[in-house]
Amino acid sequence: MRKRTPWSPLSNLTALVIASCAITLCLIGPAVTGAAEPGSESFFEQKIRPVLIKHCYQCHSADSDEIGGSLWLDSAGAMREGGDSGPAIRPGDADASLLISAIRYESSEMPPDAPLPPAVVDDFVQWIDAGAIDPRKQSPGDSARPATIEIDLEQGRKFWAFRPLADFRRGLSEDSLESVRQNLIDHGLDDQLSEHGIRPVGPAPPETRLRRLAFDLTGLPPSDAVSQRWMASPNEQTWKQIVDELLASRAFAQHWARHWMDVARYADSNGSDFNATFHEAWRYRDYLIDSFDRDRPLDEMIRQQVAGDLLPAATDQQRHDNVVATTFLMLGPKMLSERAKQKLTLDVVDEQIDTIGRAFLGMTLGCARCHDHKFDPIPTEDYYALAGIFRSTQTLNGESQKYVSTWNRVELPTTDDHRRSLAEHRSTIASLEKQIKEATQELQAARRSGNNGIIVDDSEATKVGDWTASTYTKGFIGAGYVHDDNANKGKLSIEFRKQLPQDGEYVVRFAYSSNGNRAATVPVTIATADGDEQLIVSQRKSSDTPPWNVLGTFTFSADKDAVVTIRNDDTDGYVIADAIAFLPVEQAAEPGESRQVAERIADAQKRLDDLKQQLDATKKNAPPPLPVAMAPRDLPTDQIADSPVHIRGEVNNVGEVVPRGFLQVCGPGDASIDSPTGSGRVELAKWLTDPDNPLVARVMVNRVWMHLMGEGIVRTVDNFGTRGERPSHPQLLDALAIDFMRQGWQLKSLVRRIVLSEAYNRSSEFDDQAAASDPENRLLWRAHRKRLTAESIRDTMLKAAGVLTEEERTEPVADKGVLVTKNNAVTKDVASGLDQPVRSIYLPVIRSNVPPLMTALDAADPDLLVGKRPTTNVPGQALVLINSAEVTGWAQQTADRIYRSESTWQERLRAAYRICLSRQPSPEDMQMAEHYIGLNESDDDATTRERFADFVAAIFATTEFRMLD
Amino acid sequence: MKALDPAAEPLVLDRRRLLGRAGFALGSLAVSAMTPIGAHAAEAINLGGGLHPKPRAKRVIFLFMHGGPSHVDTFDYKPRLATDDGKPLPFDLPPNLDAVPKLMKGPWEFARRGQSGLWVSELLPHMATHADSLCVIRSMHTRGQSHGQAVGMINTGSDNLVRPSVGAWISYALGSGHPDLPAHIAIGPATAHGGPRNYGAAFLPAMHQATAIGSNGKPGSGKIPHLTGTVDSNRVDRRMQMLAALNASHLSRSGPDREIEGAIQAVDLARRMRSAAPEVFDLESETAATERAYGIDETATREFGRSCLLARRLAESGVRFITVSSGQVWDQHSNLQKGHEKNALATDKPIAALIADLKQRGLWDDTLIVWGGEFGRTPVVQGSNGRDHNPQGFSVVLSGGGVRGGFAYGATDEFGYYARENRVHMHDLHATMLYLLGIDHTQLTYRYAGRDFRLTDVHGRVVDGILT
Repeated sequence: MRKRTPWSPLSNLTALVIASCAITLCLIGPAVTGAAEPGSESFFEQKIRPVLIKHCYQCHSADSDEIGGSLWLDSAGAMREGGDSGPAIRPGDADASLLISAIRYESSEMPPDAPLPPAVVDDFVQWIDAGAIDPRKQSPGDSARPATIEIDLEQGRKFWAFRPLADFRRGLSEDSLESVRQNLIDHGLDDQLSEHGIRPVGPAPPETRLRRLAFDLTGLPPSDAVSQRWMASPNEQTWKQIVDELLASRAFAQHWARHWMDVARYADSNGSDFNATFHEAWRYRDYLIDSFDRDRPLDEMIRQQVAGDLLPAATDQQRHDNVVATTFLMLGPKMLSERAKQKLTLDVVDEQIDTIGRAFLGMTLGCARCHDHKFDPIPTEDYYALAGIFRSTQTLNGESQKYVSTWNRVELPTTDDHRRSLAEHRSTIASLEKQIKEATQELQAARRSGNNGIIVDDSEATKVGDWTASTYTKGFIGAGYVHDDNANKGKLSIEFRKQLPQDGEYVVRFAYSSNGNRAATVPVTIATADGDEQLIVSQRKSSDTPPWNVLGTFTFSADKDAVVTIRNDDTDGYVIADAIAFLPVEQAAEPGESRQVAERIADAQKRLDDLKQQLDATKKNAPPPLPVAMAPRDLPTDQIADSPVHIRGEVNNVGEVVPRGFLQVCGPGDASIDSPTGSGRVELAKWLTDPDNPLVARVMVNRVWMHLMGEGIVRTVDNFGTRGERPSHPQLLDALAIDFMRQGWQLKSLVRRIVLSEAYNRSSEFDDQAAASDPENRLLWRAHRKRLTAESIRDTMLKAAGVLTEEERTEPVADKGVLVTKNNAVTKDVASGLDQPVRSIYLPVIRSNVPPLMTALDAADPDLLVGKRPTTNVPGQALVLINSAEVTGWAQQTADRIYRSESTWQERLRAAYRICLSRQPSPEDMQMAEHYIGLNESDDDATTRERFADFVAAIFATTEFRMLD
Repeated sequence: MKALDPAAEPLVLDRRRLLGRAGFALGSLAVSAMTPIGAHAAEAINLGGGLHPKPRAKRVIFLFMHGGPSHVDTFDYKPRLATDDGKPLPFDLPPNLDAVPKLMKGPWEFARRGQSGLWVSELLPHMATHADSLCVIRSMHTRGQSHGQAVGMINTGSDNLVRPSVGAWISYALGSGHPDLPAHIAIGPATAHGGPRNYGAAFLPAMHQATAIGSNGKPGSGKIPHLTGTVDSNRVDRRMQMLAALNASHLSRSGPDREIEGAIQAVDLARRMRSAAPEVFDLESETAATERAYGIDETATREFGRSCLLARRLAESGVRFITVSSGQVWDQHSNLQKGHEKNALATDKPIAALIADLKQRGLWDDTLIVWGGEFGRTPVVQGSNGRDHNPQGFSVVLSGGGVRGGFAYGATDEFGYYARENRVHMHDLHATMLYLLGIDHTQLTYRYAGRDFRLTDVHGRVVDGILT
């Protein structure tokens, strides 16, 4: 067992305590002090026992149907002993007693219906502080509580998946060893088949074999050249050549990268509550494609994905790959807007543990977050041993907006030139921005240089109603201006009042910035010496001397205030008010002076405009930003720590601290890390890929087997636990896993080995006798009929239409902002990209927005880890294949292309079969096709063409097209 | 190979294997009927061996008031808000809130309604006319201070993990009540806050995901997507016919094959859906009087009115779980009065019409209507005239089969902040919804990744106090 260190529950609680004591206090009057002393039995009888009986016994006594939290509250001993969360009370210390934090609604919320009145809570506090005097003995009906079921790790290690890999070949005689060596797979399968007296079916027809191979290896149909070569000489040698060619193709890497992406829950956006764009996720996708292309060992890939950022790198490329690989840890959907950030952090850690558990170990570790695993030998402390590693790793970093977390980013290596040009760019921008600031000041000074007279700013004006202050549009007078927010029409007014120094005529000017969204009919009243003048001002017209607009020349007297009132009655558009100026008419600018001012303003304006243009141009020609990856990092050393157990997974219900480490059941001895370096991810990565780890190589080999054979040797590919299925061929699985590790964890040689077996090449035909003894084909007496992936179906349709290119797109979501869609109720569809002429793997995967075509065809749900894609049969599949605009378009393009390239309808039908189904039609097929496109009828060519397009469209929806026989 | 009649229908197979539409029966029959085509043959379905309660309702219409309507301005009357307007809240606010602890009176008057005297504010005058048929749970509480979490809670029972939606669970448990229509339909679901996750199947078989009609509070065309194509209907029919023949040919060459048979049945169902759905979805066939009742003749109520009318037609046709979403409109952090009045105007009359219509057609008695948002709003002010999120206490309204009408259950504190009496957690509401449909929430499980999952996780208690 691990060593545990004590943990004080209180230190961690304080941060999360909701001040519910304060809440309850105000609701109910002060506690009435009873006669009994808190330290007396009578206090217990009067104040405590009745409450326990009334509010707690229903779930926490010997009479309860189901005991809540394994906690009994019906005897003194039971309360002290406690339940799942530890002792319910600590006599003498109410604040440290879980019972108190529960009835205060802090750690949990008890009783659940409604909190106890504060006076009652107070009674409990007094009672415990006084020693919790409790005369109750063990109740007679209280049978001894069931002993906590301790997980028996020794027993657990005997389960097949946790046993060390065993090589059955060790015990074989040299003769039998020879036959095994020649073909391990068929030897293993045939043994069991003959044991059950089942005769496997023969090999599939050549066309079927090739189509199966091409799709399994590359996700695409075989090319015409390969088909012709194979059909010309369908022998073992040609087969091997084709296998090697396909393995070496880029398409192989693309197709197998997609398999891995299913397990990595790959997406280009967060989905969940806040669909943030994962701008850099594609780097991970490309890392996978490149890794499979060059056959990077899978153990190295696992180490990179778990701890790449911490691994040494000899070259920039290696550093790049190491960091990008760790995007694996970052891709899960997260509740980014969760305001309780500690909970969010734990949820992210949980998602990472769950993913690593299922992806590499075939274990559902998530169960152990709340309690010991009920079915597998994984105690809760193992979970928190791993949680310590990931809590010491930083995944989230900062916020993209208030309350909304964003994730950590790590800079990737780049050239010195790139860095230099970025530095230069930054300084150019800074210099331009400085000049723009100066030019703006000069412009403002120029505008002010004219004599404006006596100014009343909006800040001195009397406002009625809810004016909105703003500084948005620059060039204002004073500290800002106000506007009516284009609302509350008829309710707002603003009054500019000034006692002018002497009687006389004044030019009155009104400062505001004009714009098309302003009101056209702003009522302005000017109180002059001659009475009120009513004006209507259009704030849409621009002024020659912004922000000033001349209202006219009026007479004012010194003993009566000059008042200009602006209202928003009956206005359509924003009403804006900045300042009013009164300029004695005799001081009003001479034409010459006015011209000088105007020239100065014009010069300043021009300089400002030029600078802004330069800035725009500089920004447009910016060098590419420093490449970053969506990647984690270790927390600073002083924050790296082991994790406490969270009882029942609750954030604020903590138990003992567990040293960081791994699953104890996977090997003998202590599974904790001796003095971890950093978070412990490096140690975890090494532990996962240690040749003695019993799970990882088995899980990996099984995944590959499943993709090629249709079902895993363990059918529950993500679950090797007791609730998963047992291996149909355990010896074979172990031998394959051992060889796989010996040969350097290389995918391509494993794939080659499997597709060269007889079993892989069997027909998928039905056989009554074999089916009678093995209806589920567990012994592989025939090939499983497999589904094509949604991606393969789409890619094949594009290829048939003649539009698929080999382009490898990067940055699929570069056009998206922080959010892929606006996070509100306005419809803002994200373009699916389905119509783009690239393989599906290069299309963006936007969570919550996977195109209906792909979801209908069982594409992996990017919210989930998908080891084996579900195979559903729903009407939506036929409907979307027949009726979606995309598929209809591809069918039409395919039909048109064939129509042009072939000259007779028979040839066109043959071409349709060849292009869509990779086979020659049989006479029966031809008969049916001719019937449907109406060749025997004397229709015109256009009608036949239309029917031919319909026929191609129908083929795209068929089972034969969507499946691999 | 046997001779092929190109015009022949594909093999006629037992449709019950395709959709678990064992009428209204619950239990192993309906469920085992679905298993053969289920996605996870190895992940066995388990409804347990225990007795399930007697069903009180056959279907649910969930009126999702996305954004969070203010309970203290609709169904939870708090006179202290008026008398203490502007005074400080006499206890602490929960953490992570933008509101300030200053009480704000609501702009609407409350009145006792109907014979029951249920308090309903003047904001919802039409729903108020059905007061005697409404059951208000005033003591709701949930998890999630932000929309994303709380929306996840009300729709899927989870605030953080990807879980099947309530409708998916119910579809899984009961199947569809119509042979040719899906069991689970979402009208106008929001694209934000999880989007399809909130009506998705997660790890349940894909068939239980809702068919979405329109988006973001609007029913759009009001039709099932892809029932019609970009080519004319005759050509679609022809393609379907060719498809059936090609599939039949594939099956005859392959021998018995469950995969191919399943696909053939699905095509068969698609063809039947194409003929059955247009009638069910045909809002045009309703009378002008009905359209007026739902407010379809007025701009303000048109979209939600169409959604509600469609919901009634779907309910009538046997669809099990229908969500009608308001769109995320109820989130009045500011301008409470203007925003809530606009939303109430858009939804109140259509909802009242829906209740009346269901009653008139005899459907109300076995339909459960659930009205509510992901949370309520604070009794304290945000900005000058708004209210912030309140998952600590809010109201949900039920109506129809099995629930007490003209009745209020539970209570918040005197200001309407925290649920205080007879608290009902979101898990409890889900447990109760399942109970009313005749399902014991602890027995409705699905094995995934080695564990038996439930809608209510390890929580949930049926709220007996609201049952008739």
